Amino acid sequence: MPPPLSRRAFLKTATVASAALTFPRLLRARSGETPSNRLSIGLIGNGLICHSHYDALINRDDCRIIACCDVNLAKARAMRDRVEHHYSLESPTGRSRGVDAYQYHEQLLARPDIDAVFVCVPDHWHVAVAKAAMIAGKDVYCEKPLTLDIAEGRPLVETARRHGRILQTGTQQRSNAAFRRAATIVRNRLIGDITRVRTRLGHFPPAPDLGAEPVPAEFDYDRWLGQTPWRPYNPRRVLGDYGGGWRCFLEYGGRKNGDWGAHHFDIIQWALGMDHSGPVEFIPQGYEGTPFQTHVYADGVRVERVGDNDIKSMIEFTGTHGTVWVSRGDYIETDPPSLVTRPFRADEIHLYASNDHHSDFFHAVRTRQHPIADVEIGHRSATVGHLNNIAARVQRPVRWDPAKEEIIDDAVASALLTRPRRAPYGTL
Amino acid sequence: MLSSTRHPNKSVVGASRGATFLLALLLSSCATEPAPKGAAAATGQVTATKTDPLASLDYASSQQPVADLDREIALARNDPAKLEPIAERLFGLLRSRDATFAARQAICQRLAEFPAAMLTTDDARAVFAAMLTDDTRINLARFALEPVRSKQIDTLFLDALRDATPTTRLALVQSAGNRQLTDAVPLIAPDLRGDDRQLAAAAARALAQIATPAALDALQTAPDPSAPNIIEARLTIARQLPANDAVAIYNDIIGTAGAPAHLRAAALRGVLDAEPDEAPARIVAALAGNDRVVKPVVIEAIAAHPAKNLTHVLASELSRFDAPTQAAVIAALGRRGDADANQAIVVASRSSDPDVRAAALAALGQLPGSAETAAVLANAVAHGETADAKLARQSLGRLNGPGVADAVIAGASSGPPALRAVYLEAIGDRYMTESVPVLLKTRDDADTSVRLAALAALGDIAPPATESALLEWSLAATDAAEQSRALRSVVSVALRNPDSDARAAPLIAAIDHGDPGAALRLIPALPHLAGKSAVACAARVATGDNADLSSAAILALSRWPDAAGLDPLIAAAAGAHRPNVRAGALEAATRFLERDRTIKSPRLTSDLSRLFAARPSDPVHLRLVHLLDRCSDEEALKLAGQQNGNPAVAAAAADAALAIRSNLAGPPVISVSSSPWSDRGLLDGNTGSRWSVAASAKEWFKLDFHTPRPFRRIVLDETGSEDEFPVGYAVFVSDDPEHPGEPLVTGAGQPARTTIDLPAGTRGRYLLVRHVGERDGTAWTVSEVLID
Repeated sequence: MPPPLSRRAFLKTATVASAALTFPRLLRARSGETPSNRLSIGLIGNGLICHSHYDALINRDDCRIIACCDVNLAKARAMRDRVEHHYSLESPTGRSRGVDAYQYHEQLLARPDIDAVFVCVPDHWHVAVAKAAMIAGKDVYCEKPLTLDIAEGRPLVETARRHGRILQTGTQQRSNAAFRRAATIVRNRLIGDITRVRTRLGHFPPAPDLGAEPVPAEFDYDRWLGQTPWRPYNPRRVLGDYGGGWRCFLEYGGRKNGDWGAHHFDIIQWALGMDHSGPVEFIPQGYEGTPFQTHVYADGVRVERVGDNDIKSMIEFTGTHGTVWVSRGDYIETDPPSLVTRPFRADEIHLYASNDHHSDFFHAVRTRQHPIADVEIGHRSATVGHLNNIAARVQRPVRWDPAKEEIIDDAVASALLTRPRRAPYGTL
Repeated sequence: MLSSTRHPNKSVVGASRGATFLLALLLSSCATEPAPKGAAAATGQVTATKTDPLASLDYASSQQPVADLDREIALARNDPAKLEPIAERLFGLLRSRDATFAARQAICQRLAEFPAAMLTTDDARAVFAAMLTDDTRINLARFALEPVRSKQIDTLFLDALRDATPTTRLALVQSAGNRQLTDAVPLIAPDLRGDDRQLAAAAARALAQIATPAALDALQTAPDPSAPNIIEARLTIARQLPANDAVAIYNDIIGTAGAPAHLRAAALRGVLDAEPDEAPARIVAALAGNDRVVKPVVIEAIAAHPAKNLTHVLASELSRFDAPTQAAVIAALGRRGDADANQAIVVASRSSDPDVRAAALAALGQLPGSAETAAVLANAVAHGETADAKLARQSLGRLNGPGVADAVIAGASSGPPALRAVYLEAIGDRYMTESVPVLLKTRDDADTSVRLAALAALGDIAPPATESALLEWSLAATDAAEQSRALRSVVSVALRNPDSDARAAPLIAAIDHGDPGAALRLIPALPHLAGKSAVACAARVATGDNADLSSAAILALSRWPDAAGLDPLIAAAAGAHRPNVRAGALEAATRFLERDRTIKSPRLTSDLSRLFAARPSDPVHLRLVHLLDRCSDEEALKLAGQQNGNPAVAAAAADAALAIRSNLAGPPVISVSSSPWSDRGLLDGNTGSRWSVAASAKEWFKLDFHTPRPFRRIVLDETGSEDEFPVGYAVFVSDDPEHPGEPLVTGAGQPARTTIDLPAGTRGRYLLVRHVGERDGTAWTVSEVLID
């Protein structure tokens, strides 16, 4: 078997195969003409992931960050300073002002001059902030997983539709050429009928037991907790850390089924043509000897969450006539190997092509078309992770009706579709 | 909802309702301790069973009692007889004075999974009724009750709402909404009229969730119909109503003085969905107007709107709209995919406005295609500006419809060369394998651009059987670009051959039997094909008689994608007759080993031994001795000892012996400041795994090599997290883990790879790398530590 397609060769193919996005002028939703065609951006949640977005946004010509917001006001100020410093380097006078720092998203959303916001808060605040933004007339790029529980999803979709807003879910693997090619190969059945999909999500350490420590000045910790059950402040609880921090706690997310499931289950949904549907059964690991957490689609395709060393790529699709392996870092390998570079016929399915998640979002904002990871898609992909967690919680298979979005004949599991929300935060 | 400081020891809801932003800031550090035990004045409280470990649960200590409880519940889940005593125990704890807040919270969260019957006994209702009026515990009761469907629980909430205090009211209003309690409407409606804006907003949301005529009526008669919360609630309900009723609400909102513009736009969006037959005219009117708030919302509705004649209407009116609107509408028509839009979009593809042109060229690829559309796109590829040409090529590649394939083949066969080239490339882009003969026929075409386009397409789609024909094409070509393009296509086509040994056969035959000039052009392709026969060919040529071919073969072997290229290089270094070939092979092999860390003992030792035998120059000898540092076998130790005879490398050989002894003692023991679960990622040879911590001055990692060893260079590989390099670093090497002394080197990190050179003669058992500086909100990530 030849080595996998070289990055250079693959990128060449990808460039030909995907859209060359252009940036039409802004159909500006707010009143008043501005001198530029730039989108004005607000960053809500200024922790770990926000810095990645900063890196992606700060040098773009088609947008300008004008406001930052974090319940930890010191973080908002630090982000503001970082943005202003960068813009000052571009300014002929060497000075730049006009970036504001807020503690509460309501303050930022009240500004009429903001076109779109990036929701970079922890998972348990995604929906509340995204909804409020859309109701305030803003378009939204929201980090993944889109929801904290399944009940949050449909109202979020309806809000987007009701207000005609754009929402891009931060599942940026969709904007990667290798994942798109893998999904297109699978969708066109170029490896035959799919028999099994395997993926690896990694593991978080157990959520630690944390005692109380003093809340830092200017940090509205109760607001950080939001709808979740009260817990004492501890810096390790609120820490943004890809390997732990708040991501370890089921209170604030879905652990690995949410954190990485949002990416890999999303690609699997895309490849299987299930963006507006989902699996029908979820079987927890260990149930009657089931070796891996498994979910099953109506056509019998089984998706297994295997151990990190059990497969050579992040996702493996096995079909009756071949296999596709795909990972980050532009890695794709196929059996037969020729599928890696094979162009697609005009009468085959061509999946939505985006090579940059931020550019796709901005293009969607300008053309008012749904982006590659539209709110419905983000909701459906997050649902897969949530249902796997529910099955694990009740320790038995859970059957799911993806059309009605209901668990079938299991009152206890059904109760877990939503979470009680601490007042005054969070209503659906 | 600006002020939000809450904690369970204070008024859980409403404590700061209406408070100013400043007050929120002042209070923001108050969320500290949970309620003191027994502080709540719940009626009927009793002393806890002090022997129950759950009663004294707190957040900082072991959660074992909760884990035990979860296990008990899981085992009893399908058996009410077993669940009942658990419920009794939990309610006993809730009634007690001594149970901590943490215990009560854990209990209530778990009671939510119990059957409704167990939550609605007389005793249970008494417990919950007390909690629902207690501002420190109301949220706990809501955790237990809200997810459970039961009329009796509904009644509990309604009763509590009737008796609500100012501090419990908002939570109960939220619960009434979440449970869609229709009987709560008259209880909630007055809250719309109060001074408390946060409560009014919650009431509006709750009424929207309940969504009965009474709820709607309450919203319609609210004192401020332009309040955003009221409008949003009415919009939510309207979506669920019959069209006529919904439209009346939407129109009322549109006509409401003072209603925010974006909410009026949302109301218009609702009208478009409620009356689809009227939508096309309304959409056109909105798009032709100047309302900048309405337009984006209306355009968003187009792609999936069910009105049958919408495409036709928009296509016929397209030229009336301003350019940004046209571009967006064209994008929407592309998503709709109706052929009715074709003609208007073809016209738009010739617009003088670049945005309109780009949108049209992209949309044409999404619409049903025809020969005419193919011609439009081909012309745009051939003669358009670069951005247009890219979009047009993509659209032509996916254009699907009757006559399109025939048009592409016809265009590839005749016409102006520039257009033929476009169509030939389209054959490749469209994977029209049946047209490979058309592509091969162009070999004799007079126009170079046509031949190059055909070669590119052949590289994309031709089967392995065409490899020889392409090779002949390459060898016969006189144009350098054509030679190169043809050879790339040979490689692409050959790689489709599943037999890895056979795929290089035509190329090898041409190298072995063709003229040297041709062989010189073909040799660089060998590493791309790899396989046993290709490496054997390169090895043969490397030690052959032709000096130019030897050099080319050695270069090819040094670029081999795997370790298969190394053996022939070592053989050439040892056995080639010409000194310059030996030297070239030795240099290439040394570079190969320096670059590739997958080759380990004993193979590495063996390879180095062969290279030492090839009598390297002193500088190369020194580099090879340094490579011994990576070995971990006794043979390597002997080999290091044998290098002492050369004074130029003797010191390095002594260092190598230290390093090998350290390696023989086992892999380094890793200790880290944080994230110990991922510390293996530092040294597992896999850049896909990583160790990641906050970019903070308190973070470090330390490696214990068991015995002192030399250090020349450390590389912090940040592959996959290129922006998470250290702000700065300080490197310590010592034999005392507790007293690392002063840093030997300090410096700033670099994106992707941070390379740290250490002073000559650095030796020690412990290597400590400490992060220097702070970078708020970002991580310091190391995918692999590379040590030399």
